[in-house]
Amino acid sequence: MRTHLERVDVKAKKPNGPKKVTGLRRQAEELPRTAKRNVAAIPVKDVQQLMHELQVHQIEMETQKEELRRTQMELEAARTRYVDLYDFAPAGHLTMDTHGTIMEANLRAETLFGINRKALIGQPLARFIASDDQDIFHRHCQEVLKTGTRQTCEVPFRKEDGVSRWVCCESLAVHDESGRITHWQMTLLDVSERKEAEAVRREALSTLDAIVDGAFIFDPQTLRFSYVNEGAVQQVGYSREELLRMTPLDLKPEFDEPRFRAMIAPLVSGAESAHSFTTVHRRKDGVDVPVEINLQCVEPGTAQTRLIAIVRDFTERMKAEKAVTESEQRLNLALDSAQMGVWELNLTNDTAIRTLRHDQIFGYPSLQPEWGSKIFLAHVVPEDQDLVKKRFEEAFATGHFNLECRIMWPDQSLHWIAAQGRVYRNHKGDSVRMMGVVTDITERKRAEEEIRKRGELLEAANKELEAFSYSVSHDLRAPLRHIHGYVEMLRRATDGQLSDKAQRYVRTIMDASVEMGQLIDDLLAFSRMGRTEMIESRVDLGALVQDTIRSVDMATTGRKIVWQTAPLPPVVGDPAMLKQVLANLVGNAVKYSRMRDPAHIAVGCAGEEDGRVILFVRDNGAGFDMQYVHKLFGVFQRLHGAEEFEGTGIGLATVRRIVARQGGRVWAEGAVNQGATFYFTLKRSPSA
Amino acid sequence: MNALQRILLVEDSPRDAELVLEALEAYHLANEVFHVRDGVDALDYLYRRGQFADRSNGQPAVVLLDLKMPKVDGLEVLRQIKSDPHLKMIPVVIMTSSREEQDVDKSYDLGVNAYVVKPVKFHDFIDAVKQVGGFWAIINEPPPGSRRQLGGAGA
Repeated sequence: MRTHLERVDVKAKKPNGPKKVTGLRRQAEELPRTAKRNVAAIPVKDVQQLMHELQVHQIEMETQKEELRRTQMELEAARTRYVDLYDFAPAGHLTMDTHGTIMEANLRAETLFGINRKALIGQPLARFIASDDQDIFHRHCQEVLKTGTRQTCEVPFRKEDGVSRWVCCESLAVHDESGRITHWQMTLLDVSERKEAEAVRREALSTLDAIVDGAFIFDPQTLRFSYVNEGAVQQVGYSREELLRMTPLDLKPEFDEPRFRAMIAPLVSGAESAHSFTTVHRRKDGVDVPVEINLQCVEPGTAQTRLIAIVRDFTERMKAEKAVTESEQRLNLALDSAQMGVWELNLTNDTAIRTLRHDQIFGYPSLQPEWGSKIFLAHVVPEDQDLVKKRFEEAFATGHFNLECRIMWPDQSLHWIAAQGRVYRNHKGDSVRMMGVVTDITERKRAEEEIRKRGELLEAANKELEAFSYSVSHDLRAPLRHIHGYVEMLRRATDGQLSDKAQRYVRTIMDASVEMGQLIDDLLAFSRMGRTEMIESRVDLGALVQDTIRSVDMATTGRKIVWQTAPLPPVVGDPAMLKQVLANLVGNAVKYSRMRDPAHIAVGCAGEEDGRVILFVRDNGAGFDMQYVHKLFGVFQRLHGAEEFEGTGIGLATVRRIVARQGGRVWAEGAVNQGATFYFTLKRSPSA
Repeated sequence: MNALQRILLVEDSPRDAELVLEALEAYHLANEVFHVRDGVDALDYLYRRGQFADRSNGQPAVVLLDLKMPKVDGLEVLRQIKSDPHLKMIPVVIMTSSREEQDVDKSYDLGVNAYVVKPVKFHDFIDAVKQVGGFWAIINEPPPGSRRQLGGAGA
């Protein structure tokens, strides 16, 4: 390198130096030649003259030698300057042979490659380029060698330590006299920062595109858009190219230019930092959409001053807000119609925000200036204070607040309130807030009290009724038994002495007493079915029917009855009561079919009604006239005379009472002398 | 008071008592019935106190007990008999007009030996009393205390 430099330097000095040197040399060479030739024949005067000339020459030589030395020093200094320039140039410099091997490198190149200059020499430049980017570089080299003109390319160089730097390479081929390329020079500029800035810019732009809001940038003077993002394009329906020829005024039907400029003026001057407003944007398709715009000025007061508008289409938000408003209205309506007050208690400072209804519940016509748990407690009657405190403690422990207590209104009237709420904790777990509702339950409490009183009365009445039927059961039957017993004893005692007429009287007394006994038994059963507690369980109806038939059959010896039973589904009910139902219905069927030989009695299932099984008992007996069907199930109602069919008129009333208590219904179908069918419904067992 | 009476009839109604005796006549058991008219007398008889303090005969083979009686009712008599270690072995049969469930439940709960509802029909009534009296006073082997006393009296 140094050799090369010297060469360059000498060449550069050519026009000044060599001419002078040649002249002096010629004079100096002539002097000894003349002196040798004539030294003896030279007169003293001449010798003296010659001496003088020689001295002058010598001085001249000295001067020239001095000049040479100075020139050389100047050259040396210039050379150093150039070397410094070369080495410390901000760009890297490489000299490469036609194969791309580095022949020379400046100091800056060292830092670019992170490798000592000596180590760089002889290396192919391509080894510093990542394999992915070799193509770019290879093309660049070919261009340089082919065209012989200045070529540039940008390619990432991998430093020795692995860090990559973007480098801009500018190459120029050097030719010899014959035009052949001998080597080429390359200037390398680190453009990493620029590349990074470009990447950041690209990222910023793609980010701007990615946001849903419309972003518009426009010039404060011309008002023209200089940038719009994808969101903006979507919002207004114009293409990006179209928008870049437009101004905000083209989109804003509510603004004219003076008004718009007046609005942006304080931003452009820097007096205002941002301006938010709502207006409408007219889309390309002519539709106006409501928008919320946030306008900001960037670098106000400079040549780069520009305005950025972030535009949000709030059609959706308006819908959402409308929905929120509507749901709030619905909530308010619900709270209003439920006459509920809402409260929110801040536990850290014991203040509360409430609805008007809340304060009204405490007897105030308008909202009180202050409220809190202490003020609330002051309204609670003394008897309920402890309870209220306990409920608050429970709420802090469980998070749920539930309270019913009595409060005193300012007019000294007593009111019942019910409050429900929740406790909210902060991140540390401290209870900081309570929120809930409150209602005036005075009326409800009054009604409850009324119901309780009535319940007590009812219970007392029930007890009385029970005592009554207990007494009936004991005391009414005993005299009957006595009548029957003594008449019988009378009959025996007067054996054979009574006239036929008297004997018939005696029999009638006895029959009457037996009937009365039956009546009492039936009435007691009827009363019991209404009073006794129902114990529901799964009942195998089929087995119950078989039991009933068996016991009835035993009592009907001598009669021919054809029983027809179908499989019955299991039901839910009180087994004892259902047994009573079947006993009554099957008993009736047997009784009213006794003139048939054979009698046909069927027990079965006739489908479903409202999730209940319909069951029936059918006979081919006396039947009944449908016009009296409504009397069938009434107490003491009979459709047949006692001479025809004995009975008390209580059995079917008992059936209806039992079935009704189990939630079902009974009905009947029949015709005179064509039999009767009695239907009843029972709850189907869920496991069936 | 020294005669052997195998049946103690506790019955407040003289008519019912007469009917019972009438029924038991069939088994010739009428003379073996001692009749008291209420619960107080029944307990006095069993505990040999009051008017029965010097009763020397043994305990009955069965007590026929009515429920609804003045002063001390049948259930109370039953309770006292069945809670006394000396009396609890005496069979007690409730004979009553009522078939109220609560009475039946309570009686069995207190340890009654049988519960009979007196039928209205005289025939049925006679049958029931005959069967009860016959069973408990004749067929059933009485508890040890009564038997010993019985044996002693018979000798």
